[in-house]
Amino acid sequence: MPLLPARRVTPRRLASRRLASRRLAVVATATMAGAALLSACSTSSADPNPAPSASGTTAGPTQSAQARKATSTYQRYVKAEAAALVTGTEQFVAAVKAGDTSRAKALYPTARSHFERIEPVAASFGDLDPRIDGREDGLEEGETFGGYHRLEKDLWRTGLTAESSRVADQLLADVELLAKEAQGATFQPIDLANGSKALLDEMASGKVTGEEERYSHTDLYDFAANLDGCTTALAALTPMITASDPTLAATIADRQKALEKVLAQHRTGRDGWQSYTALTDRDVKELSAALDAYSEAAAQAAAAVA
Amino acid sequence: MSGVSRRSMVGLGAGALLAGGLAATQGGSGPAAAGAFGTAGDGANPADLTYDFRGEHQAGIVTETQESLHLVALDVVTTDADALRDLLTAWTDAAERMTQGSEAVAGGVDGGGPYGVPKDTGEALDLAPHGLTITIGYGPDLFDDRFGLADRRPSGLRDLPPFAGDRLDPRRSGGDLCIQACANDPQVAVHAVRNLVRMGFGVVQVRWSQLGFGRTSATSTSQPTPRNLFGFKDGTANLKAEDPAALAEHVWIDPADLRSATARWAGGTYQVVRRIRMRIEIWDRTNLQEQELVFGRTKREGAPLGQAREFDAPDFHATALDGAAHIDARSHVRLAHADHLGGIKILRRGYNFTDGSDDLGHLDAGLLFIAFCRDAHGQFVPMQRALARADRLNEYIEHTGSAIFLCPPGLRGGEDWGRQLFG
Repeated sequence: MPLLPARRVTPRRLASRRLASRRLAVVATATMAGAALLSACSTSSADPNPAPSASGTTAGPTQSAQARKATSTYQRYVKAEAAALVTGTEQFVAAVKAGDTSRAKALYPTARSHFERIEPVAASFGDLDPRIDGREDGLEEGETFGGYHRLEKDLWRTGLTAESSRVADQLLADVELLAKEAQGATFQPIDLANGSKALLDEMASGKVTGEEERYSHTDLYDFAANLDGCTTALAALTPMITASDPTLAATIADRQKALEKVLAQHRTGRDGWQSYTALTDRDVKELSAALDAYSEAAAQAAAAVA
Repeated sequence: MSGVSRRSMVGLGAGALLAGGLAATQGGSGPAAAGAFGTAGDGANPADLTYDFRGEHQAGIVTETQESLHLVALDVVTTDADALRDLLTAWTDAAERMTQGSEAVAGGVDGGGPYGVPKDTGEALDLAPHGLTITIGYGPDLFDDRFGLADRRPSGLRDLPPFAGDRLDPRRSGGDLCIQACANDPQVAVHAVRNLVRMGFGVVQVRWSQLGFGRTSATSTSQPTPRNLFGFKDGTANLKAEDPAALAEHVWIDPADLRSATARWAGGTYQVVRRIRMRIEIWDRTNLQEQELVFGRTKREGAPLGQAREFDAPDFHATALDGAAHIDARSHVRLAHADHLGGIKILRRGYNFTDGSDDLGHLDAGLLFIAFCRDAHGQFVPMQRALARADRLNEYIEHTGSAIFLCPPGLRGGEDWGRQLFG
C-alpha cells in the first residue's frame, strides 16, 4: 500500500499485512516507528496518503488554526481512549489470571472497545496491532497466537489454562506500550480522514460479517467502537469539510445519523449490544446498507481536507 | 454524448468520437425502436458498436442480443422520494455516457486529484463500447405507499402468480428496481452495473444480481439462433426487431392499455426474469432420442421433429409410420408455441449462466430467462402455466428466481428517468 512506509519487516509484520494495510499513518516522536516513517516521508512526495512528519523535526505542512483545532481534538480522544484501554485491560487481565471466566467474558468486549476506537492509530506502531488484536488465521507458521482474540478463544472455546495467564500478561504489556506510544502521536487532518476510512473498512470487512469475534460474537461492540472512532475523527474535521464542501458535510452527517439509528435497534441495556448470532440476515443487510451509504460519503472527506 | 470517450483517453482519439457521433445521428432516425440497430462507425470494428441511448423505446429490449449480461435487482432503502428521483437522474446521465463509451462521470477515473476517490472505477477505460445497452425497470413494490407513486402503477405491473414446481429463492427474486446491462464484452457490462450500484449507496441496495455469459435468443433476423446449455436451439420463433407490427402487438405497452394516470408508460414493456437452474449432469446422461423428444426439435439442426430445417413450421399433427405424433404433446416446442396458446407470443432475450459449482460438484448453471411483453399476465403467465403443468423439460429444470419489472418507454432529448417517473 502506498501509505505504508517501509520499515522493519518481521515475520509478524508480514503476517499482519491485512491489518497493516488499514493503518492510519501516524507519527509518534521517538518511537520505533518514527524513524522509518520519516524516511518514507522524504521518498514519497507524490503519495496520496502521505505519512505526516514528526512534530519538531522535518518541515511538515503548517496547519491552519482550523486544522490545529481538529487534530488536537482528535489527539485528546486518542490519549483518553489509550488510557481507558489500559485500565480496561488491567481489569480484564486480572479476571483471566484469577480464573474468573464469567467476569473475564463480561469485561472482554468493553475493554477492547477502547482499542477498536483507535485501531488505525494502534496499527501504526510496529506490530502492536497484530500482537494485541491479531486473529489466529493471520499467523504464519511458527508464530504463536496471543492477544485479545487468543483469550477470546480460551474463554469461549477451549477454557482458561496456565498459558492464558502468560498471554494475558503479554497483552497488558503490549497495551501499556501502545498507550505510551499514543501519548506522543501527532496528526495531520488527512490522517483523521484516512483513519476514519480505515475504521469503516474494518467494519465492512470484519464486523458486519461477524468475522472478528468468531467465538464471543461480540462483533457489535467492535462495530459501535469503530463507528465512534470514525465519527469522532470526522466530527473534528467537520468545520474543514464544511468550508470546502458543505453538501458533503451534510451528507456525512445525515448518513451517520441513519447508521446510528439502525445500530441503535440492537442495543441491550445501557451500554451493551446484541450478540451477532441474534441478528437476522435482514438485520445484517440493513446494517450493511447503512454502512455502505455512510462509507461512500465519508471516503470523500480526505479530498475535502487535503 | 458529452465527455471524452474511454478509447480516446488512451490515444485512439477521433475515430471513437466519430463513431459515437454517428450513432447519435443515425439512431435518431432509426426504425421502430431506437437502439434496435447500432452502428460501429465507418471503421466497422465490431467493438466500436454503440446503440443510441435515447429513442421511442429503451435500448436493450429489441436490440440485437449482445453476448454478455449483468442484471441487478435493487431495493430502495430510503423513504426519501427526492433522493430516489435524484439518483434516477444521475443514473440517466451515467448510463448515457457509458453506453457511448465514456466514463460514468466526466473525468471519473482520475479527474478528482490524488486525494479524491475515483468516481469511475476504471476497468472499462481501455475498452470500446462493445454495444453496451443499459435498460431500467421498476418492480411492483416501488409503487407502494413509500414514494407517492401508487397511482402511477400500471395495472399490468403486479407480482407473478406461483407456478407448479417453482422452487423460488427469495434472495434471487423480486426487487424495486432492475438494471439490465448487456454488451459484447462482459467487463463492459459489469463495469456499467458496478458504477451505477455505487452511485446508489444510501438510496438503493442490491437484492440480487446475475451474470449471463452467452445469449440464448436472437432478437434480429440477422442473428442465428443460439443454443441453451442443454445444447438445443430454443426460441426459434422469437419475435424479431425487423417486425415492428408484431412488436407493437406483443411487446410495447399501447396507450389503450393504460388509464390516464399511467399514460406515461405507453411505449414501455414488462420484463419477466426467471432464473432457471438446469440439472446439467442428469441431462448429459440422457440419450439423444429423449433429449429430442423433450424439446420437440432435432439437436443438430434445431428442426421441429418431422421437418428438415430449423425455420420450417412445426406440424403438430404429422405422425410417423407407427402412427405416433412426431412432436410429442408434452414437448417444449409444442407447449410454448403460439398455436397452442391462443396466438400468444413473447420476446425472449435470455442468457446462459453458470455460478460455478454446487456442494455436490454439479454445475450451478442454467438459463436466465428474460422476456418482454406488453401484458405479462396475459402472455407470460398462461404460457408458463402451460409449461409448468406438462412440459417434459420440467424433469430437468427448476425455477429458482423470479421477478417482474416495468421497463418505461425510451427517453427523449432532455428527459431523464427521475422526471419520467416522478414528473
